[in-house]
Amino acid sequence: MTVTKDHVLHVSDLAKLHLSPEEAELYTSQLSDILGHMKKLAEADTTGVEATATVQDLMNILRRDLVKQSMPINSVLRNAPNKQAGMFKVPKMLDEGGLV
Amino acid sequence: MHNMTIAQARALLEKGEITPTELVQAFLNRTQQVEPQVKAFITLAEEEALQSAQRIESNWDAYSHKSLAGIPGAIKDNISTANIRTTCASKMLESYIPPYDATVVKKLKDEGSVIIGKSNLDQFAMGSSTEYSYFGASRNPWGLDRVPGGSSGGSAAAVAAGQALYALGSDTGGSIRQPAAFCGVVGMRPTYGVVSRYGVIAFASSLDQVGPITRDVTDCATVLEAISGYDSNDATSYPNQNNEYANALHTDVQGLRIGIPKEYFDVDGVEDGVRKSIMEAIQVMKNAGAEVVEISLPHTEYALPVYYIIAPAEASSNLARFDGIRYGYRHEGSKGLDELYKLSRSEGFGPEVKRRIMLGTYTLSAGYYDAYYSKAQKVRTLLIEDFTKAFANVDVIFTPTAPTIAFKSGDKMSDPYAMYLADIFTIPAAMAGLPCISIPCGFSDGLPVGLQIIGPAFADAKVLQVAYSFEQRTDYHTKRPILTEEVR
Repeated sequence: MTVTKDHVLHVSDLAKLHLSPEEAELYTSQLSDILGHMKKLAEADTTGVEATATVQDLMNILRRDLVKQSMPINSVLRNAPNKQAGMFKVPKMLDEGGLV
Repeated sequence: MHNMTIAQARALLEKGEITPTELVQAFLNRTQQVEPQVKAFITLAEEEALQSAQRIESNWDAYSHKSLAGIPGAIKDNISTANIRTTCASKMLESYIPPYDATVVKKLKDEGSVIIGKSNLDQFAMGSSTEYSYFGASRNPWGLDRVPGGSSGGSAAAVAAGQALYALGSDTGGSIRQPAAFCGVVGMRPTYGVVSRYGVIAFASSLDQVGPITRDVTDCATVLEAISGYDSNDATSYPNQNNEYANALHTDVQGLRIGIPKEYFDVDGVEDGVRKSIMEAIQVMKNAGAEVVEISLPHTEYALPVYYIIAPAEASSNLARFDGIRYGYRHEGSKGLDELYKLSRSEGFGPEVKRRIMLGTYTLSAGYYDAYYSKAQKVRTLLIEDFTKAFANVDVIFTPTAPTIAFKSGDKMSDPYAMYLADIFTIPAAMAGLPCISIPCGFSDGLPVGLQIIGPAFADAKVLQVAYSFEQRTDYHTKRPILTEEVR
């Protein structure tokens, strides 16, 4: 499987990463190389084999729906890069034309 | 004093020969002396540590019976510590100060332990050498031109250099055991679900586990006992655990069946010095009365590709939370929300983190999901079945922890896949969620070799007991590196 630069740019958009032209080149060649090593998996016979998502047999971990003390608002906002009036502040994201 | 174990320090504290403040101060002094060479820490918490020590000292009657009263420890910097910054060795979290303690940290404090600082790691625990830290690489105390391993390299180096009596690490594919092997200390990955991950910054949630890094197996059991147990804040935490580990240690190995998987010795790239030390370790156990059986784990060759599909896929999802809005790095001056996300993430994450997010997003994306992610999950089942079959016939499995001794700094930085190969022997047990430990078992070219012992799920006490029985018949765990500062 050869990874093209178009693949890489598509994936970086999905992953919300901005890549410089140099990074796009580098990741194109490195992802091709790494995924090349993954080809080996095709050799493993997985006919009728169930997928493993977790090694545990725990299921439906339930708890009582109780009202509990939550973290004070100033603790929650302590690490916010920008805040105002007890809220997170973000740049303008809508204008008359829709999403900025 | 810095060459002691937790057990030795506890004995001195109990006899009143030292005070908690003196003990903590001694480790802070030691750190000041050797830190310029080892670079094990991202953040030191000297003031908080001395305050805690004084508080414990003035309430000694309330603390004296606790297993870690006054004991200085280091916490890997991807584990949240209230009011001490927790960076994940990244620019993204460079100034992040957690508002709460991870459950493991709370448990350590409840046992009277004193946190002296936050140890270095590969950024977001992604790496095998600690060279991918935003704050610079840590060094191996046994050879400063060598890496300490990773990703918990700062934790292992701090314990090896006598900067802390123990450290916590986290292990996704080998990040506790491989650095423990490289630094000549004990490192344990407990059974998945034994230790709470609440407050641990997630990398790959079906794999991440927290565990101790210590000087010897006794200390490892003590720390594991302190941090383990059910936690309702972690939905993967296992209820009804029997977490009595310290009492389980004894040296009797009569009737013990040890499996030696041939696939771990056929692999190209296992150094002769490593092979020789492991063979000698097996002989020690034979001489002690254990039975050694050759076994096969036939899907081992697939473990590395399975891991490097599943772990980056989970990481790409977990790291989506870093959006520059609620905490962490934000690019200022973005024109809109999408640009804010993209520029904050691109500037806040390092190259290996971005590489893994890209890899994970790629294998999860439409058109590739079945060939990569779904296939990897099925082969993971085969890897687990290999172990299940093996443990029908043996009690524990012995392997090398890593194929090589600590490699030279910079050696693998230009080739990501070569770096991934450093985890080849630690990944399979992690994929299966099994308890496993690395203990010192020899030296090659003056650098430590680690023996990995793997047990069936929830046989953590058995793994510790077998490790202890080897340790008590050898003296590798008593060796300490000589740092050049002391030579001068």
